Formats: sequence, C-alpha cells, structure tokens
Amino acid sequence: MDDNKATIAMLERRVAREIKARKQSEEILNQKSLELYKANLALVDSNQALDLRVKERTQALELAKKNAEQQLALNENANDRFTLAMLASSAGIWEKNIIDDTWYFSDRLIRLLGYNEAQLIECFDQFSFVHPQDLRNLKSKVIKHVKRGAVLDVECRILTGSGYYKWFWIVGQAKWNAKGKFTRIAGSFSDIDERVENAKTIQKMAHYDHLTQIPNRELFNQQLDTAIELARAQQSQLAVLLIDLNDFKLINDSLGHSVGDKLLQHVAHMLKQSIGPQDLVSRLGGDEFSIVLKNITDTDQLIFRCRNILKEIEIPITDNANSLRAKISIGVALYPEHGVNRGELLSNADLAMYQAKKTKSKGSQFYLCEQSLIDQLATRSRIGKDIYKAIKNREFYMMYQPFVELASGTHYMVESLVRWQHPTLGLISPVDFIPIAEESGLIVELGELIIEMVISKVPKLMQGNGLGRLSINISAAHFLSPGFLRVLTENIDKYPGSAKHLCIEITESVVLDNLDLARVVIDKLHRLGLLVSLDDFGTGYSSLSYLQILSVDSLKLDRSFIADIDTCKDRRTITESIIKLAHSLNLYVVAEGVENSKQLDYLLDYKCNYVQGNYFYEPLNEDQLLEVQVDSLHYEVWNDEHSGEGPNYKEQL
Amino acid sequence: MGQIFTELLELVESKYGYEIVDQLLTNSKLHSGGSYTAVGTYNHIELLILVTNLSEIINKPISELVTEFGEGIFIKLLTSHPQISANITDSFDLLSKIDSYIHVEVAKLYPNAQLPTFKFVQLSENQVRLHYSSTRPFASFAEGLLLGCALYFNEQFQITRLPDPNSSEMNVTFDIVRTKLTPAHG
Repeated sequence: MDDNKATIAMLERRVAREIKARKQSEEILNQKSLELYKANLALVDSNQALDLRVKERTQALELAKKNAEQQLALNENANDRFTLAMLASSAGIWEKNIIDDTWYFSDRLIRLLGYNEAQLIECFDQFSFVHPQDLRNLKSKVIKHVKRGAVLDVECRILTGSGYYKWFWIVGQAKWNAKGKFTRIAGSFSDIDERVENAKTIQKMAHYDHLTQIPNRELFNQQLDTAIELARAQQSQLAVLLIDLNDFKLINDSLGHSVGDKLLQHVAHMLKQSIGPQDLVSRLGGDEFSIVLKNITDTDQLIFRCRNILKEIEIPITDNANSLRAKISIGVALYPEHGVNRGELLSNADLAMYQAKKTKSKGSQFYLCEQSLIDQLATRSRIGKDIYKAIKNREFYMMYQPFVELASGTHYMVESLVRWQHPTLGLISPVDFIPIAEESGLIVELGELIIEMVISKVPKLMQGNGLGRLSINISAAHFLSPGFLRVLTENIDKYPGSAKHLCIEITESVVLDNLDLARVVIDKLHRLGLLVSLDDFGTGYSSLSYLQILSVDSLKLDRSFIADIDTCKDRRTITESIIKLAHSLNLYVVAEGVENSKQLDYLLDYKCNYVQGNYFYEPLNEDQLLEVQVDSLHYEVWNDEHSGEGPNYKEQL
Repeated sequence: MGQIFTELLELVESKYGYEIVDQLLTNSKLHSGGSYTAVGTYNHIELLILVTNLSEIINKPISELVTEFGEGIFIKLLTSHPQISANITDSFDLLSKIDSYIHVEVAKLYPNAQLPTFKFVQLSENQVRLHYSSTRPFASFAEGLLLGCALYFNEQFQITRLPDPNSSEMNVTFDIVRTKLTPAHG
C-alpha cells in the first residue's frame, strides 16, 4: 500500500513536472511566436525598405543607362567629327595605346610618310626615321612631355618612304590615368617642308649679299658680336678689317656697272680665299667689305695675314681680254686694343682705312689703327660737343694777317682769322673746328659771331695806320643761308661806314652749291660797298668760267700752288697763266702762303698783286696789327717798278 | 541549452528508472524545480548539481557518469540535428568543424547559447590535438562527447587529457589517437 502510495506520489510529481515543463514550453513557444511575429513585421518592413531600395536602384540604373545611351550618341558624334576632321586635315594622325601596346596611323599619315603600317610601327618604336641631327631634341621633348607634361611640339626632319628627308611639325599629347600612369599618346605630323625651305631662302636673302653671296652687314653684325663675345671669354684677340675698293666709282663710270659687279664678285671671292675657315667676311654695302680675323696672336702674324689678303687681291680678273686688278684700302682695328665692341672696332677700323686711303696712289694698302688716331677722333668728338657752348660763351677771338701789296709795299688789306681758346683743350686751330662746325650746322652761328666780332673792330683798326680792308672768311653754307645778308647788314648798320672796309672771302664750293643764289648775294654785297674774293683758288674744280659769271673782285691762289713754284716749272707756268687771266678779267690776285724770297721773286715777275704769308707776317693779334706801320721804303721801290700792271686796285679798294 | 538537461534525465530514466530521476530531482532542490524542456535555457550550475547528486545516489564517480552521458548525448544531439551532421565524413572531420561549422549552425538555432571553443590541430592522419576552452566547467562532459563521437564513427579514441580533471574543467587540451574498429561508418 505504501509502495503504491509512494509510486502515486512520484507519478503525481512527475505529472506536475511534465505539466510545468509543458507550460514552460508553451510560454517559450508563445514568446518565440511573438518574437517570430515581430521578426515577421521587421521582415515586412525590411522587405518594404528593400523594395524601395530596389526601386531607387532601378531608377538610378535606368538613369545611368539613359546617360550612357546619350554619352554613346555623343561619342558616336565625336567619333564622326574626329573621322571627318582627320579626312579634312592635312596633318597625319598617330596614336599609341601603351596598355594594349597597339598603334593607330591615319591614312593621311601613311600617305605623308610613305610607309605601310608595319614599317611605321618600327619607325615610331625605334625613332629610326628621324634625322640624326634632330633625334636628340625630339627624344628629349617626348620624354619631358611624358614625365612632366611639357609641351610636345617639335619641328624636325623625317626620312620619308621616298628616300628623302622632309621637314615635319610634330605635336603630341599623352594621357595618364588617375594614378598618374602613362596610358596613351596621340599626335599629328604636318608637312612643313616647303615653309621651312622658304624660310631658309628668306633667311639667306636677309643675311647674304645677293651679288657676292657672302654675308651682308646684318649677318656680319651678328657674327662679329658673337666673335667678340667669344674673344672676351677666351681672352683672345681678333682683328676687324674694313676694306674699301679704290676708285671704284671710276671703274663703274668708265667700264660700266656690269664690270663693276664682276669686280665686286671677284673681290668677294678672293677675300674668302684669303682667310681661314674660322674667319668672317662680308660685304657691308657698295664697295665696302669687312673681314674678321680670329685668334690674332701678335702684330707680326696680323701683318702677315693682311699682306696675304693684299696678295690674293692682286690676282686680276679678265674681262673681254682686258685684265682688271682690284686695288683696295684696308683699315685694321684690334680687339680689345682698339675697341671692345662692334661700334668702336668698326669706327676705328674706318679711321685706319682713311689713313690707308691717303696712300692709295701707291696701290693696295693696309693700315693698322693707332691710338693717336683714336685720340684725334675723340678730340673731334669733344670739339663737336663743345662748339655750341663755345659760341654762346664767346670763346673765339680774331687774329689778323696783312697782305702785302707788291706794287706799293703797303699792307692795305688784312685777313681776319678766327681762333678758339678752349677752356681745357687750349688753343684750337680753325682747321680742326671749322669742318666740325660745318658738319654740325653750327657754322652759321659761328659765322655770325665772327661777322659781329670783325665789324666791331673796323672803326678801331681802319683808322690812321694805312689799313683799308678787312676780309672775313664765310663758309658756303653760311654765305647761301637766308640770314647771312640780314645779320651782315645789321652789324654794318651798327658801325656806319664799315662796309667799304670789308671784303668777304668765299670758296668755289659756293658756286657748286647754288650758282644763281651766289650771284645774287655777291651782287648785293657789291651794292653795299663790300668786295668779294674767291678763296683757295686752284684746289677744287677751279673753273675759270666761274670767275666771269660770279663777278668777284679778286682771287686767292691756294698755298699749294705757291709752295711749289720755286721748284716746279709746270707750277710756275700755271700760276703765271692764272694771274694773267685774272688780270685780263680785271681781277686782282692774292698769293697765299709765301714762305721765301724765291717764291716772292716769281710772283713779282708775274705781277701778282698781293702776297700773304709768314715771309712777311704771321697772323697778328689786334695790338700787334695796330703797331704795324706803313713801310714807305717798300712803297716807293715797288710803286716805281710795278705801277700800271693789272687793275687799278686802289680805286676798287 | 535545455536539450542537455532533458537528454540527461531521459538517459538516467532509461538506465536507472524514473525513481532515480524523481529522487534526483527531489533531492537536488533545484531553482528550476527540474521541469526541463528542450527549448528552455537553464543555469549550468543545475547540471553540476544533478551530476553530483546522481553520483551519490547511484554511487558512481562523477567522471564516469559524465563520460557515460557524453556518449549517449552525442548520438542524440547528432541524430536530432541531421541538417548539421549531413556533411560530416569521419570523427576528425567532425572535430575539425566544431568551431568553423557546427557551432555556427548551433548559434543560428539557439541565439542565446554560450558555446565553448574547440581549437583543432591535426598532428597526423590518426592523431589530433583539441583544445577545449569554455566559461563553464564541462571539459569532462566534452570528453564524454568525444568518446560518443568515436563510438558513432566505429572508432576508439585514446585520449590524453592535460591538465587532469582536478586541475581544470574549463581550459583543457585533449591529445587524441584514434583506432578504426571496423570499416568506417556511413
């Protein structure tokens, strides 16, 4: 019984446990169901969210597809355009895809270069069709472009399939991916052969003399500048030779321009022959050539090379059985001794050439520039700069040189001579400053100052000492200038009666400049009461017809005639003839530069009216002139012996 | 997992009868009252209490009990989850897949389960080293499961356990040498 009870109790416990377990299971299941339900809800939400996302993705994909289609259409358009552009372009197109290692060449490129595709690939890969001289530059440009993005733009020569090199303009553009890796490169070849060849021709025409085919001044200037730079860097010497043909005008005029041209060509050729490969030769223009001799070591070597040039030039040309030999004058300036730049060297070579020209009668000559020449030029330049100031500051003064009248022994006539007392350079001769004043145009201002200074002295000098006329030298340019007569008249008006004490000395160049105007001015001077004298007669054209046309009152025989009359019979004959002719035209004659008694004797014989020179008087200052008294002895002797010859001077005077 | 508890009690009942089960549950005074369900979750301490009390009731060492139950439970667990055991070829294949496959699938079915790790190293064709690591002291139970596994695949495992059960039940290395008893089980 107890056992049964115990079993029943145990079974009851078991049932209770099972029931409890079942409930527990049910609770868990309920809980799991709830969780499942919630999970389902979450899944529904998640599904909806997924649906939404799918929808959005689909829309995005559709949009992307549409964009891609549009892009495809654009690409097709671009591709069409590219194809058309390639067909229309005169350039040939090439492209290399680095990733695929493939090449593309347009038909135009294949035609331009004359190779098939396989040959082109090899040419491009190896650069084998590039001219050896252009290879380095092209390779360097390509590398710089690919590595640094520098512009790839090269003009170079390419060996075409026809076997000839032609000039091409090559451009290219590489492409890199997002990581900066070089992925492809494309570009074009344009045929610029004609343009380059034309440019070369133009370059040659611009830099070479057409007649002689040697460099012209333009190229010479560049080459000389470069040579100077090099000599400076190497501390070496070079010589600039300025070469001028002697009397080339005469050859042109007498034998014709074609002969002149042949001579120029010959000279150019011979000059070229006579120099080394590193030296330069050019035709600067006209009959002027220049040579640059490089690496001059010493004067002996330079002289040897100059002599060599002269020797080559001696070789004649033959024209229609006539042999013609060029004569040249060479001026030489050395770098750095005579100049450190082109301007200085050419200028100083020109100075030296001027010296060589002085002895051109002896044949071809060369002359090496000297420092003294350069100094003279510097002085000349200084004078040119200072002369304007000198006129303003009245740094000029007058000297006077009397003429001796051979008939009377008196010194009735006096020539006024200008002098310049420079504040630093000291006394400057008119020989040095008058030409400069003429060149600069200041001769008018200077002449006006002289007129003013001389006329102001007339009252003082022309009283009581037997002096009657003061002559004033007037240059041609001043004589023919509009202000000459006005300024002269103004000054004469300041000193009434001075006109009859004045004489104007002019040179023959007045006649050459303007004969009619010269006659009018001379006529007016006569009417004012002045005399007019023709100075330096015998040095210029000395046309005797001028003497009549111009109606001058006297002529002055140039000192170069007088210098020779005691030694040269011909000179004496000419001098005598001129004096006789002048007298027949009722002109009196003044002989300049009488230095000795022998000269004087001849002039006495020829009945020359006046003499002037250091044999009698050197130029005197104002006080010295005033001290000069009439030499009665001379007057009486010569008056008796020579009266009655020639015009009645005193009446004129 | 509750299945361990229910399977344990079923094994006790089948071997010793429900009287022993009733006595065990009555004596143990468990917090859960011993009304276990396979789908529930219970404190693992209760499993220790049950094994300890059973050892006293039937007068059998705990380690023997644990091994005994391990063998029985292994077969139950494997057969009740055919979807997990489908791709297993032999015992070492199973052991190598505990962490990488079996426990991954278990975690899907029982998201709250606290699973141990089994680090598997194959030393030779018939020799492996398995390192058991858990937050719970069930190394002996795991050893029982290993023996159950050998049995299932018609093999015999010679297991060297380090350290011994008295030193650790939570961090243990099993060196296993297997012997195939008969041609391999399907």
